[in-house]
Amino acid sequence: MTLQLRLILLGASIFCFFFIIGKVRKAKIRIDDAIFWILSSMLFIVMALLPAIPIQLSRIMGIESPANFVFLLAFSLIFIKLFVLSMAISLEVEKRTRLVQSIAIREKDLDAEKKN
Amino acid sequence: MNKKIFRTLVIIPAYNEEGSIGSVIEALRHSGVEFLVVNDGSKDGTLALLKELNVNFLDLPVNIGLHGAVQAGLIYASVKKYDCAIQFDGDGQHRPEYLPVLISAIQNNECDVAIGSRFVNTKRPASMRMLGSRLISYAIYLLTKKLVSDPTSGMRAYSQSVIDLMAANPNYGPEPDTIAYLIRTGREIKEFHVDMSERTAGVSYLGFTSSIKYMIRMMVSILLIQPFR
Repeated sequence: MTLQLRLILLGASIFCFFFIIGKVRKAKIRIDDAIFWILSSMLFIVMALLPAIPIQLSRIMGIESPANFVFLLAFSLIFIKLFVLSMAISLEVEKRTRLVQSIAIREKDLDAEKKN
Repeated sequence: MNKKIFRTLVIIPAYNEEGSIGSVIEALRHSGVEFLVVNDGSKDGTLALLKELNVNFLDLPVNIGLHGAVQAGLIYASVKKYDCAIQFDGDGQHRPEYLPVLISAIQNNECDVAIGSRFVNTKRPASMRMLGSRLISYAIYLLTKKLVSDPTSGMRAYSQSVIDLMAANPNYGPEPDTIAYLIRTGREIKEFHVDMSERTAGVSYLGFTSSIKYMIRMMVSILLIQPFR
């Protein structure tokens, strides 16, 4: 990995880390959801500081350049996160449906009680 | 001036607790405290049982998890201007006879949060679960230089100002990282000895994978997020 790439990686990751913390402080994201991003930024900080790790791993995996390994890692992480998010949205939509339905039924019950 | 009556609300989040909630309610009725059960979208007979026993309860239409359920109770406590709210498990682990100690600690302004702790005088037994508890204690110590011997205890009493804070804001879950954050922001936390029973029915919501997840979540939150929050 070139020094430039390592510096960019390090700078961007540190920026992201504090950006996410800032969002937690302003209550724009739940801590539960921030954990993934915090850990990801830590991962890339480690990669930038200890290039031996991506170099060794890329050798083991038969990837020509350690930089490619870093890109593959980032890409895979995003792919997994995207699917997890997609699942989470599905569940939320299902929950919202149940919620709306139960509010409607409860209101009808309330109205019926009032009339009696 | 009339002396204001000090009011306490015990909040019991309940998710599929039909096997144990009945005896918990019975024990609480015996102790004479005011309580509110929050049915967190249970799929078993919890709701029917609550209606049958004619207790004070909230029925959440969908399952939103422990944090949301406790927060619902805290919002109720906040709106109804209770002076103290206590989080209490519905699985029979917590015993009402220890409530007065926590209540009087809040009432006498000894602290903002009173934790019912199993390990004030006793040592932690050696088990995986206790290793987790020890790690969280250590992380909180690193962050705050204060020793919380039983950070995962689910039996906690909150003062009115903490109730309002937790009711109104996200990221104040009823978990150890919130305790750490409250200490860091200058709140007084005290622990009081309690004994806990084995759960009487049902299974703990923490299996192996979710325990690991819980630990990662707590450690990252306490060591990486809370220091900068």
